[in-house]
Amino acid sequence: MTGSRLLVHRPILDAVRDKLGARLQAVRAGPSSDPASDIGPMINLESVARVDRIVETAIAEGAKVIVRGGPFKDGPLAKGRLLSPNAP
Amino acid sequence: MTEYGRAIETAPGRYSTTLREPMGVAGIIAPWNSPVVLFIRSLAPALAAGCTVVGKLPGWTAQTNARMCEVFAEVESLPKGVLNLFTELHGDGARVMIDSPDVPAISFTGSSRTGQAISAAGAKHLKRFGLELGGKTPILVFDDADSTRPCPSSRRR
Repeated sequence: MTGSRLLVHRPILDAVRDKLGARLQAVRAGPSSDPASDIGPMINLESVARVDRIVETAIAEGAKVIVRGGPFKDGPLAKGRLLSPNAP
Repeated sequence: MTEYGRAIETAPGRYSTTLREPMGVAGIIAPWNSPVVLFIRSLAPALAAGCTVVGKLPGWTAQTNARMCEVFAEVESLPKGVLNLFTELHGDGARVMIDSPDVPAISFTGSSRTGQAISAAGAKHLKRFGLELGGKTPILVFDDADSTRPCPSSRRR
């Protein structure tokens, strides 16, 4: 399951959001071959850009950022197709 | 029911017989987001029904495709020529399959837009389709959820 959409009952929204945010902060994007990686690369560069753009659009339209990720800008991982869920 | 079908008495002394026969060549188009599971999900019933298969595997998962082909090649009980696979980034090969009168059934997993194009093109030969399209796998969390435990299907592993 991709979990690309999470619909939460309002009374527990704050609690779920805070816990999810904390867990996302700890997720490590990295090569699939590295056992320390929690998530591997996207399928291609277009997908990296597309998903990052979706987040950018949501923010521009008023979404509140809890954890902002993005592609790696420097270092060896910048050559990959990784999209970190937290600040890379 | 046996593999030979079944007969029911539709009126006294009159029998209707259902025969289960392979359709022939099944064309299977697998998506890049889950090429192994979603390919085999269509492959298994096609082989079980006695069909041969032409499969298009996604170009974005070339290494996975190659490994999958190695494994299939090890299956000694699978006669040569029953399973035929190719890989491509775009749709040229898939289009040949869809336009061919020799491939009466198409199984496609992917986008709704491509599914519409495939079923429109295949309509010319009145093909049978298995299309799994679109969808956004929403996860619902209700207020009685135990938030100390992630649900088994949404957690990472």
